[in-house]
Amino acid sequence: MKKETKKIAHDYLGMIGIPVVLFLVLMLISPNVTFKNLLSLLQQAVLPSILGWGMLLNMRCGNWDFACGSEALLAAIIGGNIAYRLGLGIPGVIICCIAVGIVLGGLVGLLYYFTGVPTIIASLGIMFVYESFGSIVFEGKGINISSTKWVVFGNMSWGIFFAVAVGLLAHFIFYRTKFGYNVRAVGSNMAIAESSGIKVPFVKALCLTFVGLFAGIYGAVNLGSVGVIRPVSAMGTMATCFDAMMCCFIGFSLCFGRNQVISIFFEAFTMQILKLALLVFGFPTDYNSVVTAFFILIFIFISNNQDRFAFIKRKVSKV
Amino acid sequence: MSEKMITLKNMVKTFGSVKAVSEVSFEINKGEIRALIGENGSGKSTLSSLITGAQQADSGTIIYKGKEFSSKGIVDAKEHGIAVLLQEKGTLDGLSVAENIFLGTENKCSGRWGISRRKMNQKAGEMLVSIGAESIAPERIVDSLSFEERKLIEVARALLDDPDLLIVDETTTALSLEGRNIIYKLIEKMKRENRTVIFISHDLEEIVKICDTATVLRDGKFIKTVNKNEMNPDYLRTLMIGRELDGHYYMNDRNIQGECEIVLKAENINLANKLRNVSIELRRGEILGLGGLTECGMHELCKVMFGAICPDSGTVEVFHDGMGKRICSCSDAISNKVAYLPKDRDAESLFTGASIRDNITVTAIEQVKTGIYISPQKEEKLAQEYVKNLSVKCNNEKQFVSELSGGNKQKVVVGKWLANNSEILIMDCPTRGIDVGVKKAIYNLMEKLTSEGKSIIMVSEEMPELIGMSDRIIVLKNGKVTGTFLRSQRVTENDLVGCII
Amino acid sequence: MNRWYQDNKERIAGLFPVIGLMCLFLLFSVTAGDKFLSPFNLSNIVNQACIIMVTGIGVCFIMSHNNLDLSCGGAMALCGVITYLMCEKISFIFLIPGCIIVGMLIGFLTGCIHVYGRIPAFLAGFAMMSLGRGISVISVDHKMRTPGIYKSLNTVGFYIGVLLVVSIIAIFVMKYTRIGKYNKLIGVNPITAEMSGINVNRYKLIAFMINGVTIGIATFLTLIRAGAITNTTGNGVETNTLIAVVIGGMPLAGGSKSKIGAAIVGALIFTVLQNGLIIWQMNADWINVIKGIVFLIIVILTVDRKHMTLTA
Repeated sequence: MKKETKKIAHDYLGMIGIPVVLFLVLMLISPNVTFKNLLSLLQQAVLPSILGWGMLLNMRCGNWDFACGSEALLAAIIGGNIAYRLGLGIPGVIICCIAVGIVLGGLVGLLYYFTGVPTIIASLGIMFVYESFGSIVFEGKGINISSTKWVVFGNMSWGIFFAVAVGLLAHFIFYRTKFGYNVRAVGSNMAIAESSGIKVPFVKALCLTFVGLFAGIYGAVNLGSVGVIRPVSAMGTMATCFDAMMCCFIGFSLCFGRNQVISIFFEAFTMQILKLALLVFGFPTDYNSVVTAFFILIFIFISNNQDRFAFIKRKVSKV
Repeated sequence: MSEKMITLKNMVKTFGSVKAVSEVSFEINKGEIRALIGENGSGKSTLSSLITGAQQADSGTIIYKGKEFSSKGIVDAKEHGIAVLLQEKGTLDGLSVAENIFLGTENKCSGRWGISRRKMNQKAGEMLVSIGAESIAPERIVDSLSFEERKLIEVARALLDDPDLLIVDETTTALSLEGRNIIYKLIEKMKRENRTVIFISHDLEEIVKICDTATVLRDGKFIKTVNKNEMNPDYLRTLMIGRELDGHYYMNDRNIQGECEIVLKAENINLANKLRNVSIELRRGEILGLGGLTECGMHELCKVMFGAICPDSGTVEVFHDGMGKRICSCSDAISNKVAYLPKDRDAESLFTGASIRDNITVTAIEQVKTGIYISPQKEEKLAQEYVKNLSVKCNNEKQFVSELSGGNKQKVVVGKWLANNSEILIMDCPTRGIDVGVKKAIYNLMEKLTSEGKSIIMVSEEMPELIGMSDRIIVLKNGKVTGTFLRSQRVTENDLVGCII
Repeated sequence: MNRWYQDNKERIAGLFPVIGLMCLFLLFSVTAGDKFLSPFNLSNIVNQACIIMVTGIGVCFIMSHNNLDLSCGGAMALCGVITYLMCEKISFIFLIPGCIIVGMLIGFLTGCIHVYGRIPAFLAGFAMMSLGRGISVISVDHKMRTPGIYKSLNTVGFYIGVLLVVSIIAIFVMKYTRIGKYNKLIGVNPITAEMSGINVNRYKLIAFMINGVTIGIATFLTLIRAGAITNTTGNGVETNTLIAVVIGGMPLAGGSKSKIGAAIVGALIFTVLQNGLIIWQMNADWINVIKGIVFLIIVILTVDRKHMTLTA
């Protein structure tokens, strides 16, 4: 039993320790980085981790979803505009965005479920449609609520409250429902899951739908913190997807943390620190997506090549 | 005691033109432990999958607990109290022991807030204690467990619903004595509770020890059900064998003149827990038969000889005019004129989504190209030549391989390797899933090829085929060579079975 | 009749895109005749189609072995910037060979990431795309104008010439050499390919390099057509190419039904559709929606669910 506690301690130490050590190193290097940055970094980590939680479901059951960024965008534009025009207030924005998000995600799920088109292709096609749709609805102006008092998520306490609430929801879905257990089973081995009575296509389609839910929340929070959202074209929403995917891949490759829902947040936090580090080293922000993409490559490389690393480790230990 | 648990009536199942199970009828009582035995491919596993509904029978009825029963799948069967333990791996990596045990039945652990992990671990722990595997902690991730411990997790999952009928399909073969004892105890417990076990195994000693009755199958047909008092390994063995051997169907006896030169040599091959110190020599112009149970390591040995699997230690060498060349990869093997016809044709040796022509010419590109230009005319000619020589039944050589029957697919594979003038053919179950007529054609072809000086290694799970076709037979058991027989010794199935089981 | 249909099934299926192209062409000729059939518009269609066609031809090689390439737009920007900066130092004579060689190296790099890093090819492509997108920002403060001599090449004749050369070489390579044959077979079944003595990694890499070469050529065409590298060079080319190739009849899972013709016909359908809709005065965003929906419909109709491995 003692060994177990040690293992758990080791897991959580890795999860929290890596970002903390990274941050301390950054503080040593640059005098401009202070503890104040830490708080804002934590706040910045909320957004990517919201979508990251949705992405976690997809990644765990073997789906590729490139539509989530455009779902978040479109949900914010449509949901936000509805709430704005009806004057529904903050709860209205959130509810409308979530409702639209679920519909948008559900469409991807339905497409996958009824046609069997691979998720990567389905989501790519849908992303293309959604992005262009964002430029069509509401005269292509996107949404602007900066004139109202609804821009509240820039506020620290609201942001943290929301993060905790969404985190609890993600935890509930992932660890406390049959669906969450099924997702993990499907991701581990589809054939065995199928023969144990799990409806694999249904679970995968449901995952795509749930991403819509999280994308809706993401859209609402994003809208509530910046106030203005403009339509994007030519795979511009890809960066949002990448950020979410990156959170998952850091977790898969370093394997830290017992509770993946919590670790996604710390991974998003780690990612924000890495981005800050790039700023500190003088990289222009234009390269953010480049760096994210290459971090993804590195982390997938690590998680796809565990056998090679194990082999090298064995060789080294033999010497 | 005489209450019936399950009755099978005239069960039939065919795959293509092969009858896997034909007209099998028998019944099993409550509280009975019934063994199901037979050679490889005698229909035991197919029969068990018909009961669980993993496969649907062509005809026949199952009466289970007094009612007619037809299962839609393993899950459906489980709900009706039929659980099955399979040979293959059934645990999910990356999940905890408890999650594996409650796979698909997570709702049993609902707490106030959805599914409670604590409750699941606690219940799984109780389950593991009750089957005698208390050493496995329910919260551990299965990746860190041994093969045996994972099997025990599957046992726990199967027994979760207190099944009335448990099918154990060759599960014990891979387990150590300790693991076996756990399963024996469980079986006895089930017997005491007046439930039924169907036990499939190759280990006859084991069967005599624990089973009440044994049903023998041969070629998919019901042979006999033996009672406890007449059960002994020798008697069961004689019932299992005894297929008819028609001399003309296979190869005629022939004399291989003297000792021909060695063309392929595998020395001291070791591979994880599959092969132990296996050495094999193949001589020019002979058919070397490799026999044994499916999991004895013979299939892996073929792959090692073709360079598709790298052995842990040992070497494979091919000899051309006395010069030895080592084989380390598939392309080494192919450039040294070694061909491999795998057991899983569709997955490993055919491009089913490509034309017959593409399949045949893939290894013989050198012959059909001038410079970098591959001539479609030459390709077509080459393909047509082999389609004609091997009499592949098809519309034309542009037809996709996926549209052909099993036998014709095999002919295409043979054609692919003949097109590149291979000298050594490693054939893994060359007649698997092929109907009788084409089988005969393939036997004739093998005979013809060897008379042309090519050499063949043939792995077979069917003993008559092995005896009828091989000049020399090597038998493997648990990854070790247990016997070598020459054709001239007039081998009988009985001799072989002694080494195989 | 039935027998004849069985024998020529492939050919008939291959005709559908061509029939589709003709129908579209007829539709727009009838509804917007004088505008659509004007020489100016027709040459415009060729100009627009040629870049997608060239990249599409490269993408066919990648798709034939059951991979997706989504790098071309970004890779074009990357290739353009690197070649431009190099030529600026040496001489603009080397613009054409420079584009091709740099493009090939980019393709090689993407291929290496996929093959040796065991990273899904579309992710390697995405990484390359974002790298290109990021780097093309340089061109904003560093004016990258194509030297005047090359502008004289901006004629329909030149485009058609390039297209002819590229497609003839590509069709030859795909149909009559090992590269095409092996890539198609790898797409059908990589395990059998390995067990038939095909060096899977090597031929995959070659496909990526061919894709790189076409990216290089497309970069050059963009340079002479747009007259400069801007931060939008190659924007949207990756999705447009994918859509065009799939509309043209390229199976998503690759395999022996792969053909270069898909890229050629697909690019024409794509541009004719786009051009015609513009003449109908449709909003550009609606056109994008229609393109996306057409793509999805074609995928749904043609996807081979049995051989799809990208589902992962």
